[in-house]
Amino acid sequence: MNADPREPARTNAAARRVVIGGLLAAHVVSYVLLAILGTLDPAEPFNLLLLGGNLMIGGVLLTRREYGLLVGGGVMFLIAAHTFAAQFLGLDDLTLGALLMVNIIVLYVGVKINTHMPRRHWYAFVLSYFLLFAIFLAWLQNAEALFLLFLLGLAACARSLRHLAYFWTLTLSFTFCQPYAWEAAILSVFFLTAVFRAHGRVESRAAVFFLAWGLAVLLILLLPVAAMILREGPHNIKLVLRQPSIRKAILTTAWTATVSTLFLVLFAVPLAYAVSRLRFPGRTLLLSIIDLPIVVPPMAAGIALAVVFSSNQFLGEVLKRRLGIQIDGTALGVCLAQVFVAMPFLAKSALSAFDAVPERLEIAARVLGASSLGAFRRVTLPLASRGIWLGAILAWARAAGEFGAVYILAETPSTAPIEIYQMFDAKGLVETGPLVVTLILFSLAVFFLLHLAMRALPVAGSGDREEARA
Amino acid sequence: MTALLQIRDLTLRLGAFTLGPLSLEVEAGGYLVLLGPSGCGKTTLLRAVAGVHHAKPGTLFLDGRDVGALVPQVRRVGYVAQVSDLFSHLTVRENVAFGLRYLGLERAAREARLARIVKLLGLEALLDRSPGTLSGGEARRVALARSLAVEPRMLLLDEPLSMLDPNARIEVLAALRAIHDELGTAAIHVTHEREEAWAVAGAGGTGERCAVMRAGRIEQTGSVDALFRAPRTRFVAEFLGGANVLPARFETREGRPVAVLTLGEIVLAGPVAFERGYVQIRPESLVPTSSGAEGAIRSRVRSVADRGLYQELVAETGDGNILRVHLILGDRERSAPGEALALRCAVPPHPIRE
Repeated sequence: MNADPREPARTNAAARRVVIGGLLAAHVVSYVLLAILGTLDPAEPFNLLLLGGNLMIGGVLLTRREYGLLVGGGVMFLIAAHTFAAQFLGLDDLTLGALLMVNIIVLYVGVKINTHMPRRHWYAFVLSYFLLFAIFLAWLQNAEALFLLFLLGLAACARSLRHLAYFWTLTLSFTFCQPYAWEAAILSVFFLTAVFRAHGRVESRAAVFFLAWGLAVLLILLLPVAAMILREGPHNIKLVLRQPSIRKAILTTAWTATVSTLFLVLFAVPLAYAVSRLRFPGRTLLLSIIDLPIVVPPMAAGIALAVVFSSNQFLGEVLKRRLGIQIDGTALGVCLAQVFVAMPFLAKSALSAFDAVPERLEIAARVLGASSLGAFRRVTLPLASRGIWLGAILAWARAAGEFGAVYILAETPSTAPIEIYQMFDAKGLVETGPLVVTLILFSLAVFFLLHLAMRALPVAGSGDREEARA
Repeated sequence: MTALLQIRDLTLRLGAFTLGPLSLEVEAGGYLVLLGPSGCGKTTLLRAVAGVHHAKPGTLFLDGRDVGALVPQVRRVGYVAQVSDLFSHLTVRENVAFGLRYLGLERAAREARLARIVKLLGLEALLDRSPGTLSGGEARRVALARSLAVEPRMLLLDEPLSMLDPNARIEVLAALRAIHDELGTAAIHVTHEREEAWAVAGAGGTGERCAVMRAGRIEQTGSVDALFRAPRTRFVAEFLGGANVLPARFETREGRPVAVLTLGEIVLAGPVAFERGYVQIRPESLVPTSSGAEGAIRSRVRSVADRGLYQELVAETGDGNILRVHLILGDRERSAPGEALALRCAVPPHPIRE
C-alpha cells in the first residue's frame, strides 16, 4: 500500500494505543462514577467480570499491539451477544461471565490463526468450534463446565493441526466412549502418535493415510480387549493364577503348542522347500491341500480326525491295541489336532520365504563346493529364517488358541481355550474375565518377544544394491 | 597337450532354447572372450561348464576328464554371475571364505589363502562389511575373490563389467588384470559389448582369444584383432564393427582381388575363393579424397555429429547406399549436411562370405 510500510504502521499503532487506552479508561471511570451514583452494583459478579475481562483484553492488546481493531470489535460484539443471550437462556452470571471470558480467548486465538496460519488451520479451528458447540447442544446440556474446559483446550491446541487431532481424540473419547473413556483415550493417543511419527524412505501420504485408516479399525477391535485388561485389576489375575487347574491348563497349552510347532518345523519346512524348488505333477493340488485346514471349520477338522484316530475307530483301535498309543483324550491328540490346524500357517510362510531366496545364491554356493544339502543349510535356510520364524510364531499361536478341533478330539488334558469355555459355560461372563485377561496378556508377551527375536534374523534376498538396480 | 577346457559338440535344450551344437577350447592360462548379443546362450554355456546344467557324456572335458555329468561342487570352477549373488547374511570375509571350508584345509592354510586373495583384490578394508553396503564395483570384486579363494581350475565371468559405472569398470578391470598376472587362472569372459573385448584384450596380455556366439552356436573364433579385422560372416562384421556391410561381387583385376559394389570397386586385402559375398567398409577406414581421383566414392553428407576429435557422418552415395563415416578432424574443415564429399577406402577390407 505504502512505499514504506513501517512508518504509517508505527503511527497507526500509536493511535490505536491511544484509542484502546482511552476506552479502557472510560470504562473504569464510568464504572466508578456509576457505582458512586448508585445505578450500578459494583459487587455484582457480571459487572466485575465485564470490567476484568475488558481490562485483561485491553492489556493484551496494548502490550501485543496486534490486530487490535479486529479483536476489540469482536470483544465488543461478544459482550453484547452474551448479555443479550443471557436474558433469553437464563444462565447465571457466573457461567455467563466464564463463557464470555473463554469466548474472548477463543476469539483472540481465532484472529491470530486467521492472520498468521495457513487457511486450513483456520477452517479446522472454525469447524472444531462449531462441532464442539453442536456436541454441547446435543449431548452435554448440563455440563457447561466441561464444555468450557473443552473450549479452553481447543484454544490451547488450535495452533497445530496435530495438537488439534490429539484434542479431538481425547474429546471424543470422553464424550462418546464414556464407559471406556480412558481405554479409548490411551489407545487413540498411542495410535495418533504412531501415525504422526510414521515415515518411510519415500514420502507417501497414501501410506500414512492407510496407516491411520487401518489403526482406526484396529481401535474398534482393540477397545474391548483394552477395556477388559484395564478393568481387571492385578488382584483378580493373581487370584486366577492361583487356581491349580488354570495353571495346569496354561502349562499344557504352552508345551503342546510348542511340541506341535517343533513337529511342524521338522515336517512342513522341508516340504515347503521342496515345493518351492521343484516342479512336479500335482504341485498345484498340493498347494491347495496345504491351504485346506484354513478353510475347513476347526470342529469339522476335529470330527474328521476323530473318525480316523479315536480309539473306537479302526486305525485308532489298531494303534491302541498294537502299540498302546491312544490319541483321543490324550496330549498326543491335542498335538495332532493342533498340528492339523496350524500346518498351513508355517507351510505358507516358509514357502514364500524360500521363494524369496534367489536360486542364483544356491548356484553360487554349489559352484563354490557346497553340496545341495550344504547350500540349503548354509545359504537358503539362514536367508529364509525370518519368514520361517514368522510362520512358526503364527503356527504356535494358532495351535495354542485352537479350540474346536482339540475339543472334539481330546477334551482332556484341557488346554487354556477349553478351560475358558468350560468356565464360561459353568460360571458365566463376568467370572471368566480375569482368565481371559490373563491369557491375552500372556499371549501378547509371548508374541512381542518372538517378534523381537525375529529382528536378529537376516532378511531374504541378496540385499544388494545391484539387485535393486537390475 | 590337451586344452584345459574342451567342449565337443555340446548340445543343451532348455525349454524353447537350444544351445549348440558347439565346440570350444580354452588352454591353461588362456583368456577367452565370448561375445554375443543378449539371449544367444552365453550364460547358459557358462552355467553348463559350471555344472548348473548337465551335459551329455563326451561333450565337456575339464583337465582331460569328462565332467558333463558331475554335480557343480566337484568341478572346481569359479563362476561370477552377472547379477550379484553374494550371501547377504554373511560378511565379506565369510563370503570370501565360504568355499574354503569344503577343501579340507588346515586352519592356517585357509587363513593364508584368504589373506592372499584379499590382498590381491584389495579387499582389506571391506572384510567386516555386509554385502548390502558395497558399491557395484566392490561387490563384483568380492564375488571374484570368493570364486578365486578355492583356487578354481578356471574362472567363468558372466559380464563382469556390466552394470557398473565407469570408475567401477576400471576397478574391476584392474582386478581382472591382477588375477591374470598373479594367478594365471584361465577364464571365459562373457560380454555383449565389443568395447569390453578390447578392454580385456589389453588387460589379459597373452593368450587371449575371442569367440562370437549367435543363437546358441559359435560363429567365429580367433584373436580379438583378427575378429575385428577379418570377420568371416556378415553377422560378426555387423556385431563387431557396426556399419557399412554391403553386398559385393568378387573379381580379379590385373592380378589383384577386387570387390565390385554398386558404388564402385574396392581393392581387397587378400585373395577370394568365392564370387559373391559382402564387404565391410569400416567407418574409420574412409578418408576424404579429391572427387576426380580414381576409385573415389562420391557422396553427399546427410547428417553430421561432432565427436570432438572426429566427426561422425552419414553420407549417401550416388547409387543410394548409406555410409557411416568417421573423419578425423585434424586441420580439415568441418563437414556440413548437404555438402558433396568424395571418399576413398584407405584400408583394404576383407571379403565376407555370408
